[in-house]
Formats: sequence, structure tokens, C-alpha cells
Amino acid sequence: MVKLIQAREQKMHQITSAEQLKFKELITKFLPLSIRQILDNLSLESIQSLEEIRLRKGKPLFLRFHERESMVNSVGQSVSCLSQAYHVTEDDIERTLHLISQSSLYALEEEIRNGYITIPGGHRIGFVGQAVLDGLKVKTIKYISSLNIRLARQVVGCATKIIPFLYNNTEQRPYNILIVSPPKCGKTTLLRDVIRLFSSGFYCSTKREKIKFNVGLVDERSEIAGCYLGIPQNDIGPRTDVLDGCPKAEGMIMLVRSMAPQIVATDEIGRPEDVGAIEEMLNCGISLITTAHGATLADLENRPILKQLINSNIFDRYVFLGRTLGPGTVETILDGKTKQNILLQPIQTLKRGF
Amino acid sequence: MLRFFGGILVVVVCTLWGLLIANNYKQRPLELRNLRSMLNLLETEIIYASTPLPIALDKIAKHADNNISKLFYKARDYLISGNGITADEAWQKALNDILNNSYLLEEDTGILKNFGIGLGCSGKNEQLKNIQLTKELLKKQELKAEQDKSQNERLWKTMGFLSGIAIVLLIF
Repeated sequence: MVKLIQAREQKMHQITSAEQLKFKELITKFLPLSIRQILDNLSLESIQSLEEIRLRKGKPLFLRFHERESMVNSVGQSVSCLSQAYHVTEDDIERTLHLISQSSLYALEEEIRNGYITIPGGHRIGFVGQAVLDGLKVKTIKYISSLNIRLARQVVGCATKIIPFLYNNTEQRPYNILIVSPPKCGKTTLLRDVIRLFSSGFYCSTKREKIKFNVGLVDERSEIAGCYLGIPQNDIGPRTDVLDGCPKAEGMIMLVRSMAPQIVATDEIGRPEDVGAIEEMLNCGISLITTAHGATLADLENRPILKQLINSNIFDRYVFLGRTLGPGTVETILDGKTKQNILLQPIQTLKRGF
Repeated sequence: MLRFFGGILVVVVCTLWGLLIANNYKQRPLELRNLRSMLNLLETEIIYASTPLPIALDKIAKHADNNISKLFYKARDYLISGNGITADEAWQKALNDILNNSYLLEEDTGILKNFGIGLGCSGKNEQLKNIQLTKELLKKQELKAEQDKSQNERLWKTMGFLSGIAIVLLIF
């Protein structure tokens, strides 16, 4: 009995250290020693639910978890009083920039202009400071004052439960899907796994073999595939071609012409030029999977561009996400024509971890 | 007999000492020239290829001569050590490490130290300016070093031998 308990404890310890090691390897090595010390003291549970690390010059260090935000002191204990919290120094910000860029800011001019850098693992570091303009365009950002390290959590398998709703069995093609959710409900995570499933294949009740498609992905903000030096850091399936960092409208057309995809996926549509690109693409018989910010269909209809898309009945399925059963809950799936819910009850899709 | 060998020993030591100092004068312009051409390479890597600094330093180190190669290798090692240090700190540490074995003078290393301050922490234009300024200053140092060499190299070579003879004559 004692042996059993010991073995179990040992196993737990191994899991703990593996997860913590991974965290160290992927995240804390990009932070200066002072902040590294703080994060090294975090418990496994905290690491698993950590979503954002916010550094603001001269302000307390904030850690954002699933359900709460917390300030920490210099040894990693959470505190409630502003004055006890660890305050981020100018040196911390500068060092972080050096570390994430490998001291090569000159190589990241484009990223700095866009305001974020993707690091291995697909995690993103956004930053703001003072914009330097060249005419009307942002030339670069100087005096960087705030950094936000957003941890990308890939949850492989999170879309498995809903994939039957997204595949048109009679026409044997995926529906045109719009995933709708308020921020931080797992929109991108779900999109990523839907792409992975369509690309790597899944079993359907009526067919013996796997159903699989060639997917073209326009990853304008490097969030879905999380490319680092051109290599996707997230699992997006073996039949996915990624056009990284390309504007959506242009990228969709480019993909159709060059890669002959059966599905085109992209994140956060809503610009006027997207409509033209989508129409052209759908006329080629390609399925579209995309996302938009919002909570209800009415929200979407308040936005002229999306209203146009909804009224022309482009989408066959609307997947609405929420937080009733935690982040990543699929609340409803609406049919595109009838606008009726086809889901019996909300489905929880995300169980988090690195 | 003992006197004879003692005398010869004094002459040999003095000659070697002279040669050693002469060698310093000979090597310094060579090192400065090597540094300058390596900075040229660094410029290409940074400006045209946007190569990340650790990889650029590694590439350069492979082409550089002995001491200069060590400087670039060490800077790279410090940079990728994962200890959270910046390019500037890595460069200064590497400089300090090679200082003892190098033929460079304090005024030369001063220029290199200043070069490190701006290394990697700005856009391409600023990097280019920093590298070009450093190259220009190093070129001036190189001209000076060449002058010193032509004035002093032969002098020290002969002086070592002659002072050895003089000491021997004075003693005996």
C-alpha cells in the first residue's frame, strides 16, 4: 500500500516537473532573472491556468489566470496590496525585448511595426510604446512601455465532439463555418483543432475510411499555426498549407490560386475587402472556416460587413462559444438557413494544459 | 666557460624580449584589419540577411583569425547561455575575456566597448550607423598601428639583441 502511494506520488512529481520544465523552457527563458524567480515559484496549478503575463513599466507585474487576475511579490506569492507587488522596471522591459528577439531587434522590424512577436511554441508577445510615423503609416515603435505575454494553449482534440455538426454528409463537404465568441472563450483554439481534424481526417458514421481535406490557412497574425521561422509550432494537421502573416483577403485569393485547397481557414473576418475575397472563393466550391468576435447573432448583424455575409446566407453553421461550463463551451450551433439551434445542450470542449 | 654561456644566455633572452615586443607591433594592425573585415561581414548579415545575432556571430567567428574568432565565439556563447543577459553584456564579457591574449591596446578596446552598447538593440539603420562608425574608427587605429609598426618593429628587433650585447659588455 505504502509502495503504491509512493509510486503515485513519484508519478505526480514527474508530471509536475515535466510541465514546469516545459514552462521554463518555453516561457521563462524569455524573461529577465528577476521575473524568472517569481514565475519559478508558481505552483503547477497556477502554471496550468496561466493565460497572460503583463509587464508595464513602473507598474505591478500582473498574472492573468482563467478566472482571476493576480499581483505577485518578488518571491511569487500573490498579494492584494499594490505597494507589496513586484514592480516592473525599465530594465526588465528592455531585457525581455532583448531576450525575445535574441538581441536582434533589427531582424524584427516588421513584427515591431505590427506590435507583436511570436516566439517558439506559438506564444505571442504584444507590446506598445510610442509610435514613430512615416507619413500615415507606423514606421516603428519606440520607448516600449508595456508587454503582454499571451500563452497559446493548444488543446488537441477539443473539436472532436462538434466535428459531426460541421460536416455535410449528403454533399460530402465541410459546411461554411463561422465560429463566434467573445474574447478569451477559446475561439482560436477551437478553430485550430477544427483545422487539424479536417486536415488529419476523422471517421464519419456512414463511411469506412477517414474523411480528410486539403486545408489552406491564412494566418494573418500568426495565432493559429503559431509559425516561428516559417514552421508551424502547433499541430494543424498534415494536409495544411500555412500562409503566414499575410493579409486575409489577399491571402485567401493567393491560396486558391496556388495551393488548390478544399477548405480555406482564417481568423477574424470583418473588413470590407474580405467580402469580395470570400465570394470569389465560395464560387470556386471551396469551404470556408472562419471566426468573428461577438456573443449572439444580433451582435453580428450590428456590424455592416458581417450582416452582409449573414444575409447572403454564406455560412451554413454558426458555432457560438461562451463560458457557461468554463472557457471553450460550445453554447449553440445554428443552422445557416433556419437560424435554429441544432445542439441539444452546451458542450464543454476545453480541458487545458500545455 | 660559465661566463661565456651566461653571456650567451643574456643575449638570447634580450633578443627574444625584443622580438616579442616587435611582434606586438606587427600583430596589432593585423588584428585591427581582421576586426574590420569581420565587421563588414556582420554588416551584411544584419542589414541584408536579417540574421539573428547569435547565428551571425557564429558565422563570423568561423571566418575570423585566432583571437578575433574567440571574441565572436565567446560573445555568442554568453548570448545563448540563457542567463538573461543582453548583447551588450555578452560582448563586454567576451572582450574582457580575450583582452589578456590580444595585441589590441586600450584605445582599440575602448572603441569595441562602445560598439557593444548599441549592438542588436535597434533597427537596421541604427545598426548600420553603429557598425560604420566603428569601422571608421578602427581604420584610423589601424593606420596609427601601421605607423607605429614601421617605426618600432625593426627598432625593437635590433634593440633586443643590441641591449643584450651591451649588458654582457657592461657586466664582464
